[in-house]
Amino acid sequence: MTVVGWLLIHALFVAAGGGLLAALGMVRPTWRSALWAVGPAHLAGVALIVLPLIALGVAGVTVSLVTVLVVGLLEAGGLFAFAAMRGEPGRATLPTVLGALRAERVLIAVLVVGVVGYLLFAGAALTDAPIGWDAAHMWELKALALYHLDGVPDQVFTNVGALAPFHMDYPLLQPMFEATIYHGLGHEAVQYVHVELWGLWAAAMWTAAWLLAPGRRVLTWLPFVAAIGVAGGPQNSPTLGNADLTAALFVGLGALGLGLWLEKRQSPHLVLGALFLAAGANGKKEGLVFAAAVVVAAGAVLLGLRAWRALARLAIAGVSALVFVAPWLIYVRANHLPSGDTTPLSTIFSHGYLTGRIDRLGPSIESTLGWLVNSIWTYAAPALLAAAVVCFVVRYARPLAIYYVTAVALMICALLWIYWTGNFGDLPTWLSLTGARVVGSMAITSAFGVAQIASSLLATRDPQPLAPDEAEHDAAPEWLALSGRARAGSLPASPAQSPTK
Amino acid sequence: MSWLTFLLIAGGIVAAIFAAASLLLGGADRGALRVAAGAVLAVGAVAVAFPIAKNSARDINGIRLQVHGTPPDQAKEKCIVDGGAADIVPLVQRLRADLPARAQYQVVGRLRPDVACLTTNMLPRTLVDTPRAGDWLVFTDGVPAHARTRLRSGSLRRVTNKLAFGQVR
Repeated sequence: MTVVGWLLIHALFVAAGGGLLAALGMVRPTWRSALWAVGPAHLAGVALIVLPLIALGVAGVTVSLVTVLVVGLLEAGGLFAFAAMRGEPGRATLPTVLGALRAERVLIAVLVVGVVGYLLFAGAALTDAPIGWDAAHMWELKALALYHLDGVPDQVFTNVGALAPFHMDYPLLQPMFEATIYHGLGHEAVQYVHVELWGLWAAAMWTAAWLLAPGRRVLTWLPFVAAIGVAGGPQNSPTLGNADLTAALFVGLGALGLGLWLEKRQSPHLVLGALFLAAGANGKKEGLVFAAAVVVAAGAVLLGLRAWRALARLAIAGVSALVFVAPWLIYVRANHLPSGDTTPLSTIFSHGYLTGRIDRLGPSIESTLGWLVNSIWTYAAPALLAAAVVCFVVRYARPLAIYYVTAVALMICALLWIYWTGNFGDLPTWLSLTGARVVGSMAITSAFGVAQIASSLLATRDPQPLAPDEAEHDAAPEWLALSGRARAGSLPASPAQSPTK
Repeated sequence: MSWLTFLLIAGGIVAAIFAAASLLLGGADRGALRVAAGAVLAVGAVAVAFPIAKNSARDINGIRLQVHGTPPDQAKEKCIVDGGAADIVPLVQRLRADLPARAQYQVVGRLRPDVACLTTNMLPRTLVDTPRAGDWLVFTDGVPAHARTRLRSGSLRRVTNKLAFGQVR
């Protein structure tokens, strides 16, 4: 029964996510294309099923196996029906460019086998992992309550008198995901669930590759995905059962989705980006802040480009994402759930609060940047800065560079603000407990950003000319556009530059 | 000085890109820099991926060896032990075995290590402030005489001298 349940629940995730990808025109109706989309479909399905379950749960609806099945089947059925009515697949399905050189193919094979082998080995290593302290007090506690009590029970979720110190306001993506897995298995599996959390990371790497691959030479993006995929930083959270990586991978993929949309202006990327950002915002409290940073960065770039139609689309996508974010925030507000680590704005801006704690900034900067230049996060953030500098020098893909650097910079600033103003008194302990894992969103976003920028820099042609309705007629202003000299440079000019180059 | 390290790494990559463009592509014009940037970044990523993969595999193998063979109950009880309440583990195990799945219980005595950890271990059995008939009293510091009178006769089960539980009549 357990195996059947496992297959059932994962098939449901893949069906719902696959329905979305098909509806967006991102999957061709072939076995090869469908198989290649299984990883992204799983991850999109997790977001698509879990986010409505959170909304239903906080609204007081029973969240049992039946609810999970109804939500999943309705979504999958509706989306596949939409895909069937839509007809032809969209443009985000171009084949991957493997490269003609034998050495290139060998290196690709080595990287792929290495990353897949490592991800499988690490997953197998976590089968007996115990529940870490934080997970036992927050994530697993909520997951078990959601599973055993079929919803969001007051005994655990609003019992402020007993549970106030244990971050009752932390959002529910990971607990609801774990509870959904337990519903599928038919029993709780507090050790196996670590493997599922690691599986989300593996699916994220797959999704990044799947998003980056169309029309690009594999070796222009694979090394970055491989490097972050085998990094040591992501190990910590799934091992302990924490939610940092779950939030970070969704924020990173959301940033990549928006980055690809900025480059190509294809709506499927915007939809997926918004969905992943909504999931990231439901992953952790800082996930919400980091997801907002990504949207603000994208908005700032579009504002600079005076791309009003695109800005309107981004606003619509942002509001749609908020529909999935709002239920938990409303529930927290309505039930007066205390915030365990943040300080009210009225206190922050009261006289002397900020200046009295200015000495917290130095160690916070040291810790945050220190982890970003640690090998466990693969030096992705400084590499992003270097890539951005080159983009400015060569006047190519500057909006992309601005977008990613702004997003990561805003995330860093937000994190520093939290450390500066947070009410955790012992800063060194706080930094040592959280520093290595909360920078994950920045490192993963940086890695995906470098991958996109590098493959863009090395592209000799655009993947496909933009259709007039998609090109938006929002030409980049001169300060962001590719210069005439560069167009006539040593590389062949693109037949149809995308709006953000 | 992590900010300096950050800038030095970024600066080093930029310098490597300029060097690659100048030395390998015949000049630091925009086209050459574009190619050099993509190539240097990609080669750099490959270069760091291998040693990082080796370290990560070693680390995760260390975790595997460390947690190998942990039974599911112990996986849950880790927070009790880490919270300095290892002595109540036998009580929690007996409660999980003897109390029905939807039972409600009140803790009489010091609640250890804390409500959240205990709830994680006891779910779907839930902690209540005011027990009703049929609910359970869990004693962590001996059985006070006044509490004994509230129990159904014969329902008191002792785990140790101080740890016990019984059903409210």
